[in-house]
Amino acid sequence: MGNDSLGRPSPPAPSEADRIVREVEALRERLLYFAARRLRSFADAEDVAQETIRRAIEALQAGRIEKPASLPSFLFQTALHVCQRRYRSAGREVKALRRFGASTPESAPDDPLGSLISEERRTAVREALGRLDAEDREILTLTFSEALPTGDLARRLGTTEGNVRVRRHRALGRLARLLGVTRGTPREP
Amino acid sequence: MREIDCTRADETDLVALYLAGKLPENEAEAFETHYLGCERCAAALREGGEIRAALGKPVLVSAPASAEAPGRGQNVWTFLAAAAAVAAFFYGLGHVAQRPQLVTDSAAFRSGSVDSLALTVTAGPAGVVLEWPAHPEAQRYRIEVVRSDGLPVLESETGDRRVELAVVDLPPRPEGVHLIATIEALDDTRQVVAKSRRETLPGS
Repeated sequence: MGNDSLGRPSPPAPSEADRIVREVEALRERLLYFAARRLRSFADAEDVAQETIRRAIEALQAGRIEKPASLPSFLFQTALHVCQRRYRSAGREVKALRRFGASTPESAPDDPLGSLISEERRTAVREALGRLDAEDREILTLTFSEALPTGDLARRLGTTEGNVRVRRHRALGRLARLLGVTRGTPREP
Repeated sequence: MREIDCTRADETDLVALYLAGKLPENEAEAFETHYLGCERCAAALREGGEIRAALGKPVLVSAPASAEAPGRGQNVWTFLAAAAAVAAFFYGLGHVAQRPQLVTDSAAFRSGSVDSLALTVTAGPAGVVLEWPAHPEAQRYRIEVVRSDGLPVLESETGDRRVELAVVDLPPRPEGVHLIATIEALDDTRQVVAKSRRETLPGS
């Protein structure tokens, strides 16, 4: 991005502007995880992601983020800022509702990102897990369902932490192959 | 905040613990900073979420109650400093009749061009004084302060046209990074009807 005669960043060319939008849009799902963990609501998380993306695109197009490496930090701070505003706003709404004797909003769902994964996809992953051998299935279940730290998992299985990592890595690879994807590459949403 | 490299995220159980809400808050935030810029970890997050969903678990367990106010813990100083700055901002010269409410929704830009607003920045007794002329359609004015590296610092609204910002109360900044202020005039539908140029704050 160049500068104009006054030294201000000149607006990006159309193709560059499109690229910026595409790159920031690609981060939407990560922002949903970030916001849903704090706000416990998919709708609120979507709003935060949208607002953060809008601000990031504006900042990039205005040349306020000069280095690509600064983008994650910008996104973190911006999303946190938007979450804080929304949280305080929600607090005021709750107080107002109490003041007027109304009921408080219903509690947040236990699975704010549940709708992110379709029933069809859940079934496919469940079936793939069922086709793994028992050892692979056990290690993935203990890791992701019970969320046992590696050390606890190693003690439970009577092996070393290193062995747990190797087995888990291989099990994830076999699961990915059953699902027809290559591990470590983002899948199209 | 401790940095997390991709190798560590891959070799350990970070993703599973994060999704299950079992990671300490400071580590969860460090991981978030990392995965926002890491495609590999973002893919691992999706993969872990899918496995949890297939096993009948919530894709993601929300932060525990002790950390549910966003920004508590590691970032509490940021929040407190910003709150102190907002307070100093509106009590500085005694020209503000009442403390303005925090912004609760985003202003939209009116289609087409908006008027320019002449923002004057001068040094004041407790910081920096921002002044701007009245706009005939404006109901409120939104003040936004960002760092020169793009990070947002402060955002608030007021019905006044003069405020003082106590720069020293704002979160510390790396050397060479300064603060930039912008004022937007909002009409009664919260559309932006005028906007100032971005002005660098002296002494920042």
